[in-house]
Amino acid sequence: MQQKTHSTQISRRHWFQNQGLLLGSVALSGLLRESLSPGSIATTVSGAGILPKAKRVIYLHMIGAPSQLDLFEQKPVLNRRDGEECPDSLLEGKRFAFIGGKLKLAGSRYRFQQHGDCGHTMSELLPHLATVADDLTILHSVHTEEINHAPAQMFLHSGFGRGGRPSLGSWISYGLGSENRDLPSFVVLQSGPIGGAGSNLWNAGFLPTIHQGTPFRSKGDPVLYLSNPEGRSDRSGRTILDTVNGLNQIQLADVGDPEIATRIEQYEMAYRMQSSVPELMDLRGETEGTLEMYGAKPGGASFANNCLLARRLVERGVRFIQLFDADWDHHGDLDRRLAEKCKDIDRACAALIKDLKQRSLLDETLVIWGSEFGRTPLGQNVTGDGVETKQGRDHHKDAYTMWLAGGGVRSGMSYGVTDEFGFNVVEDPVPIHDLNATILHLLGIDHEQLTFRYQGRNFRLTDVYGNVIEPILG
Amino acid sequence: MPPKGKRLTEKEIAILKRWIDDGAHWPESQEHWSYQPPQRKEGRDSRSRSDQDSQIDRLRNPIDRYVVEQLRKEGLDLSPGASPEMLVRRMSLDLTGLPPSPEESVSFNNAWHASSDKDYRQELVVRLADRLLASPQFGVRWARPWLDLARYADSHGFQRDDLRDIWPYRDWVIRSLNQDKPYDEFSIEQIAGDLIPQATEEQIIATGFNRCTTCNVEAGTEPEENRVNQVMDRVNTLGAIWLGTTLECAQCHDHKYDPVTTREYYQLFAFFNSTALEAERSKKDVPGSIKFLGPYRELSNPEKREERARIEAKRSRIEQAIAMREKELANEQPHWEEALQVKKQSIPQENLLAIDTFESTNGSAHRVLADGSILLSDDNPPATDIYSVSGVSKLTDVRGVKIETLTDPSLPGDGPGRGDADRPNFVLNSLNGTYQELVPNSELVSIPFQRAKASFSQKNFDVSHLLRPNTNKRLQGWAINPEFHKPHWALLEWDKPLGSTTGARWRFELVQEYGGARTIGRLRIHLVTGESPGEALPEEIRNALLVNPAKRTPKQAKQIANYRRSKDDVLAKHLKDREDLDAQLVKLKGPKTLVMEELSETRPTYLLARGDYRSPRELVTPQYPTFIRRKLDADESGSIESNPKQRTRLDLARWLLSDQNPLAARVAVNRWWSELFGRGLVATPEDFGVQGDYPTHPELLDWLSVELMEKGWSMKGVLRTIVTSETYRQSSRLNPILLEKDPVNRLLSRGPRFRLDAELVRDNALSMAGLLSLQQGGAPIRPPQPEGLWDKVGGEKYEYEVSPGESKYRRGTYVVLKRSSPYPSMLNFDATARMTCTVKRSRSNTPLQALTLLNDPVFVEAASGLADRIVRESPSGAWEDRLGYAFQLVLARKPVAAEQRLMQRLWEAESKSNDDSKAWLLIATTLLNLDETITKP
Repeated sequence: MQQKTHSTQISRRHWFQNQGLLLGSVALSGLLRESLSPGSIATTVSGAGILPKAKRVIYLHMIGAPSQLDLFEQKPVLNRRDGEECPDSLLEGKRFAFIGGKLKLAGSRYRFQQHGDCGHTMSELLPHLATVADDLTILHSVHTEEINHAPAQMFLHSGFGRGGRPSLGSWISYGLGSENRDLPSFVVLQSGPIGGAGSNLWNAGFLPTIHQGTPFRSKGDPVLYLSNPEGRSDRSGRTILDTVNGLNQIQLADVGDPEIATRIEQYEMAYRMQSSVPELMDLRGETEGTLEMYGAKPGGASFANNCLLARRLVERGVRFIQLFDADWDHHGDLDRRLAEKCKDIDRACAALIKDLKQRSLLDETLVIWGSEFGRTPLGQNVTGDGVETKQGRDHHKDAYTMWLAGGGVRSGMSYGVTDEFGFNVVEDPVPIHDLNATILHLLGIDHEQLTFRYQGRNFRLTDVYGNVIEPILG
Repeated sequence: MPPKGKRLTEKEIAILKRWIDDGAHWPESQEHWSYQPPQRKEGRDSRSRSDQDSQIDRLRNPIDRYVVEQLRKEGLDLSPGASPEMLVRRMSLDLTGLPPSPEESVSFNNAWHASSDKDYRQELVVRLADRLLASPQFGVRWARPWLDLARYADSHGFQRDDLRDIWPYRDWVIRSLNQDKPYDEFSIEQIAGDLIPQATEEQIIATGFNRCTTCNVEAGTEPEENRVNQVMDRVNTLGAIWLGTTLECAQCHDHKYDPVTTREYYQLFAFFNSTALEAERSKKDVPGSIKFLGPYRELSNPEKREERARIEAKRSRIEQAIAMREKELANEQPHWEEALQVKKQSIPQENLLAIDTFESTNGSAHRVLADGSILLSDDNPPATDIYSVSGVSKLTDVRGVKIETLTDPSLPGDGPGRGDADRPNFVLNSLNGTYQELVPNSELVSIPFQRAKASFSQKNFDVSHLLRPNTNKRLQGWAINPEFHKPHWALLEWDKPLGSTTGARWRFELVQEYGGARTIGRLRIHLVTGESPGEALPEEIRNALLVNPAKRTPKQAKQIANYRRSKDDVLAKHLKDREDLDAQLVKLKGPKTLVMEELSETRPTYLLARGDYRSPRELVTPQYPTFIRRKLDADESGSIESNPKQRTRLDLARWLLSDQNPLAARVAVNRWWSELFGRGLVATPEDFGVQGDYPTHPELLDWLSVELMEKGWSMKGVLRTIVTSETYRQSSRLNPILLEKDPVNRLLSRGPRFRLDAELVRDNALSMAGLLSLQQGGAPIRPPQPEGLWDKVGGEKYEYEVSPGESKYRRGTYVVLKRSSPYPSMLNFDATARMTCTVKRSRSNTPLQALTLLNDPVFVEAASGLADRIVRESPSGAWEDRLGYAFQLVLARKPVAAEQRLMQRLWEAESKSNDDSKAWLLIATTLLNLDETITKP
């Protein structure tokens, strides 16, 4: 044991001495984790003196793109002119994924109402979320660059539509590290099938794989390869681990490579994960009241369960929790399908906010709800293959809605305005890079400072763009 | 000027001031180091020589001279040589990616200790290197970094992440590396093999390099946007591999640091802008119809060549017979027509029933198509359905009804059923017909079907079921498995003619209760008039026959001739034979692979503002990237290009590998160095530009580059020089002095020590377990992986089926790479999804790696194989001997006493309560989990 301590000290000292002086603190903390212990306690990053408001993020991504026009965007003019041909002036320069020819305006058939003291307008599809209206900051003017699912999903999470770049969670893990020695810093929870971009959505890209999102699964091993194989008792598992570590110590004493010390730490963390992850995934210890509030069921697999798991992860200090919920791509039969999907998530979203609040965790946890893009104010009545369907809406990248809660945002605020049809942003546009710059800012990171040098470039999540949306900061 | 950033200090301002006062001299003559041609510095002789210099000169390998010279400047020297055990393991892993066998390492070790003569040992090292370089596993090992550069994968990427065939390219890379194909040829063939005059099949396969690019075929994608993205990826990849330059910044703006302008970027773009489209809409106006097109090249299959030739000969004989019979039929046609003419009035005839009402009990939407057929058009077909179809007709003498079930591109698998693209069957459980004349108080007549015929009936679902009442619900009726994806018909006839000149309503009810949407997707109904028995003449044929032969339109004449041919038994037999032979030929076909295909007409290339495909600006032509050597621009024209007017991809490829480009060789040798030492002589192997690192050993880098070029671009030659150097052979042991003076080994003060790449971690475990299959080539393999990982939105649904037999134990290079879900255990060890060119993988150290080695069934199986092997193969049954053999297998060395003690403790703890074999399994598991096991020593 003597040797381990010795070597670890050497290596830490070496990094501070030789690299630390040359680099900003953001890059330093990443560098430390890259070469040393990824599970190590996070260094608080103070990029350019930004005070962190949020410590953690829960990101709720509705894969497929919910219709903002049936949930958050009340448009009386659009409703009045439902079924009319769309004025050409609105269509100029527009791109749609599927619809074309004579396009007709499509109003919402849902009733909207104002909620809370702040008077957020929401449709009847989200009755539970309406009860926490005052905790939400609604961004009505988000817009993106990509019009197809996989590129838009990648653009939202990595600032680049063609893949290969680190996702938001990976950047944050790289920048801030973990507060928990027993769990990964970036956890992914899924309800329904994975989005079109697949595991690229939580890929670490060119960052070290320690920053890759780790899916916690509700079927099979909660983390791939977590359980001992059949026939190996826990006692044998521990014996193996002790022997592996013992032999690694001998090797470390011989060759002195600090990587071996890191390897020993990683094996210990793997061992701790074998108990911490199943304990985390087991909802049986939650009260009836809590389960009821979320609509969660122990042993089940649902968005509600995942929201409850997200709260448990937050309690344990996990830095970034990414939820994906599938099946929001309503090109046809939107009324039926959107209502069904809202039932899946409405209660759980509200419960998550209430629960975080009552545990005094909401202030330091940023909750984000949104998607890769929104849906058109125009009706779609045929599928992409030309088959007739009940009405739905096509992809819309120029204006859509996301909301934030907790984590230092100004609650009850409504930001950004779209035109009377919900077609274009007319006030306070929120490009994706601005959204991501703001998320980093809330975590105390200057998005221009969080860089990684790769293939001859200093890469950033926000590329060469991004402005923090000051008005929504609390 | 950047608006942000730190203010300059007083001191810095003073320096700038002084420089301006001195005339702001900018050394324009001095080009960036990497833009100057590499040169061998041979001037050492003329220098005044110290003792130290002459010592250095005695080092045989020039690499060592450069390295030692540098080390001495820092007061260091080379570390002692690695032990022979370590050396043989290091070199085996480096050159073949596999550990040495116990015999190999023992015999090398024995030979080593036979004499301590330096020359003798050097000779041993050279022989070892030569043996390993000649191993067929060399190519598999070294394909890994190249395939990372080439972004080789087996799927498209994005939402519709379907698999593609391009593995022949991967095999080409492995073959070429094994043959030591000169690096310039190796490069040129990949960039432009298709344009080489009389290109061989191999040269064309090589162009798969640029087809490894991702392709977005998600429904709704704009094909041109996808194409432009692909071309950009090709330009950027070229920049990384042959220019060591990041070009992508210049897509949108002139490069901030390196002298690349946007214009130059699009001049490079122009070289790649005229290849065939890879994805396009199958229907122009239907955005969902975007499909992957290829282009693929079908490869010859030399093993089956003879068999193929035999069948092709047979086929051509049948072709002749068909031609002859067709001629006969044409000659006999007038007689046949005459005979037909006589009875044409009474010949049964089909008449389309114009359907005016269609109902589906389960609410399926439908459309009426121009040909009078009904197309069911809902996305979500109900499991069961009853269609009620009716129409009015004034025909008389109706003696039958023909139900046509048709195909349509909108149906799953084209139909005719609605349930399933692979098996678009339908089951028509019963058919009820009624007839009612359009006069007041007329009777509703139930039509009594008496005879039934069909184009095809499924076994146990014969069309005759429709003649009797349905007593068996789902399992009685007419169906068509396995004749999917084609149209069918059923004809039901009765004896007593029906019909009324004043008109009658015909109604048919089609009951389909099988479930799983085994329902008809498109149907058409004809009333059949005329005397039975006898085949009904299709309406159009009957009409054509009524026209005088001299006055028939060409279309009518053709229709009749085709009809006549379709009724001829002799011809039918020939056609069937030909079909069978074609099916056999398909089986004998070679594989296909994606290749580059140049269009005959070039696409114009425009500078794209902000890299946006919708914002073309001025026209540009293909030009070499002259930013590297601006001054040479003038004399370079007229040098090697074949046609000065329009330079081609081939010209570009040759230019890149000519002495006009100072970067290709440097960047290549630096990458190889980096593979061996874990760090390049230029620590930024992807960037040799102004922002990149300056080489730690510039003269060594140049010397190696010149070696490469002068010795026929032989990669194996360069690797041989490196691995036989003293520098490579140093021990990798660290001590506080080295840690202090050379922490990241940039001075090369010790041997390399770093974790193996993902593929090799797996290959090694399998190899130690005696499970590894060394079979090479062919379609990708699928080792076991956890269930459900390939389930995803969009794209074809692929079952992940584990490869049978030993193929699941083949090397990691052959494991299928699906970009949206790469093989999970390799992802944990820093393999990537290969969405773009990767010059340098990260090398991390994580708990998920520990979990993979401990618990992934693949590694658990390897541990168990290793345990068996220890017990089975150990030269003696004594515990110490077995443990020694185990260490030999895994680490190519003997255990030290402390290690043996720890293992003993483990063994005793387990073997007391359990049997020996279980204890050996724990020891094997422990060994496979050691840091040393997954690390190059």
